[in-house]
Amino acid sequence: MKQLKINPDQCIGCRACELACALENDGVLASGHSRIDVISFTESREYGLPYHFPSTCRQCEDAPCLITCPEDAIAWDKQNKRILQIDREACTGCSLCIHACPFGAIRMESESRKVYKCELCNGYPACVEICPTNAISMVDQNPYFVKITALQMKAFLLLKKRNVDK
Amino acid sequence: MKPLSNKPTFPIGGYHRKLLRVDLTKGSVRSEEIPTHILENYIGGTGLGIYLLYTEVPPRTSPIEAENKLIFSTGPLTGTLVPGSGTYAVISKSPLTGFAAAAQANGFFGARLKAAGYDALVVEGHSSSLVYLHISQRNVELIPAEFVKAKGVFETERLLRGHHGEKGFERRISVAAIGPAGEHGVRYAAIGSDGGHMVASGGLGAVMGSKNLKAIVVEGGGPVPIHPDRVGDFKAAVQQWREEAGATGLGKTVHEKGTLGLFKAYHDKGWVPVKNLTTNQLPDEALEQLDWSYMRNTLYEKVPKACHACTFRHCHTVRVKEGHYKGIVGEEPEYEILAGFGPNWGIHDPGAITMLNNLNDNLGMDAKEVSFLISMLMEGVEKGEINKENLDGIDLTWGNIEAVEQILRKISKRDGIGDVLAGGVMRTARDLGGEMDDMAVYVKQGNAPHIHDPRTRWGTLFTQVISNTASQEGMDMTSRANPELGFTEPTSEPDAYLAEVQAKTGPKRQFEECLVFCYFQACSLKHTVYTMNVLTGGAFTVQECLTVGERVINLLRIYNVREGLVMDDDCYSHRLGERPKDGPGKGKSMNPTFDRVRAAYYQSMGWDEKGVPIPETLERLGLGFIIDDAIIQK
Repeated sequence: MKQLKINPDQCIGCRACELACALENDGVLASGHSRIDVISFTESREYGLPYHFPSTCRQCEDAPCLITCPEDAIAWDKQNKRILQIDREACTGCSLCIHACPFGAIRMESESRKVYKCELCNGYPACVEICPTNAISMVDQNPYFVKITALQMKAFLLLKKRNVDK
Repeated sequence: MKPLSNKPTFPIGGYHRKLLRVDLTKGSVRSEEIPTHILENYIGGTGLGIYLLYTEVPPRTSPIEAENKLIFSTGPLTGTLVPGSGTYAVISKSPLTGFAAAAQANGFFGARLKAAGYDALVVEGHSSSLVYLHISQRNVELIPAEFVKAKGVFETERLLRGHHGEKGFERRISVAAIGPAGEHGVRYAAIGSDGGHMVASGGLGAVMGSKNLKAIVVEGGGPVPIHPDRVGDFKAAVQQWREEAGATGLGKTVHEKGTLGLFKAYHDKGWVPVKNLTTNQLPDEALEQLDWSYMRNTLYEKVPKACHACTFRHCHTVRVKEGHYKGIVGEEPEYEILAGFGPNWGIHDPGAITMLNNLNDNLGMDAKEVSFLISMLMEGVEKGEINKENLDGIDLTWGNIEAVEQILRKISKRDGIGDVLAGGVMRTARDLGGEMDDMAVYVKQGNAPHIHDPRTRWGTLFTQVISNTASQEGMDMTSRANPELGFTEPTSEPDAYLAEVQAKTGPKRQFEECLVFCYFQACSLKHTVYTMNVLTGGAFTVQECLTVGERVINLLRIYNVREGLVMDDDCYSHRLGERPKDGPGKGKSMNPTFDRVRAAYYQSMGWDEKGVPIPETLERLGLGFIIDDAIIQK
């Protein structure tokens, strides 16, 4: 099952993915409409080695957005591509999904008051096509469980607490 | 291409047709519409800039008085998926030369200015207190900047970005700032943006400082207009551009080697400047240390830091891993810095060069002017023309890195001898007197050239001698051809063919500077014009675009003539005509043929024998409106 794979170490911070996404999905050359975001962290006081981090929806198997939506407006695609799709007709703009997503991947469109997120361009992501360094690719992967990540974070906190309390 | 339902009118995309005008004296901002015919004739970038400079700033205005204007300009392709389209141009009257200056910087600033809703920004007047400008889609405001006064370019950027919601990271905000050099009116002060991208030529940082404007913060995210019917064709055009640019010209090498990879080849041709052009020989151990592979694979820990929509692994932020400067973090030097802060100063340690580049960028100065200024002083010390006492006790001998640091800091604050040195190479040479002017490297309009030894690189030398913007106007064809412009062979001798090359490559390059995109990401001229037409709905032919470039050159030229340019300014300093004593260029000089080349160039351009555009040329280019202004005054 093909999913988006992001390798931040290969990212050069060009942000072409943001524009390509917006152009493909909304027909606008505007990074504000992008479903993928690139954040570049800087390390030291004045200037540091940057860390470029592209992030978007992970199409979680146990998606909190799907579970939370009171209108059942978020559902899996019918072609079994494992893409979580938003039914904009059903969406009321309540924004519960925005709060539920731990990755900040769901966005609110101000004019329509509907939410939107990455839907993998129906199988051929524009970001994959434009990325000059293959930092974003579309490859076979195991399903992603956000609960696993949550458990891992819980483990780290427990271990740290053990060290601190000693 | 599918025809639109109505008759296509230019522009249907690419431009907002909006100019932001900021009056610092009144503290007011205003958005204006740019008339379509201006964009048709000048496209954007340098073209739009010189049109505004010529028509709005009165003749003989001093660069640092309130009436001068500082123009920031983008083009129709800025902020799109054209690779390297985050670039912006800055145009004004130069405090270094007294003529026009047009310089560009890459990064994201241009793309974000466009995304905020503006094609161009005109800064006017003087602010009574230090301020910075904040531009977003929602509003534009002037904000007190005391808290960043005297701070370096990088620190200013960091603080202002943090102030507007991006503390410790970057997402949508770009900052263009001056350092102490700009605040103190150093005549070659630069503007720096996006962590080390410098608007370097012509001292535009001093113009910004004279207006008491410390920085400009732009927040992007908004749209660059594109017509729905053109989306498919634009995507295809951009894809072709991205592939072509990576497979041709400079694109082929910078991906792996940056511009560092040029060093060895240039050294073997005798083009690396060594010790103020007193020699062309470098010791072997210097060549080993200044090798791109050693630097990229051993010396540096590096992370790519690409510009807007760029496809290359060219620019990097680096940390030095070994040597005396271990731990230093900065931008990977470009070739000109490697040469100019290295062998030109008798320095061979790339760690030191990285540190000095950082320092210079942070203080906010033009590396070209700094390089040839310090190399001249070092030679002066060697030859006994000047000594420590002349330099406030600083022992500026070849290779003395600490001395260079001290001098740079003094210049940036006009402290002591720094006040003299802040005038640049030509003024300093004349102020210090003696034999200094014979050693000095400059073109006679008043600026130091790009950091090469151009004495046997005729194209590079000539294109800077006749440049109207304190930089390079055309292209050097000494080692390459350009079939699109009709040159199937490189130029290898300084003869009349060189004049013709300049007359043809100048318009091409100046047209590209109206579009404003990164020079390394160039594809064919034909495809550049095609892509522009797809987005804007224009129907420009390649020839019409070259005419735009020619129009821009002539307007720049007339502007400079109006401000006092004479034929003798189109020349170079004594040292640049001196024959190299050793190396591959030994014994060669442009002196015997220069007058002939210059005369042939004027004629090719449709100018009189003094280098002034004749009325017929101006009429042909639609510049008839300025005939009354400039020529009658003469």
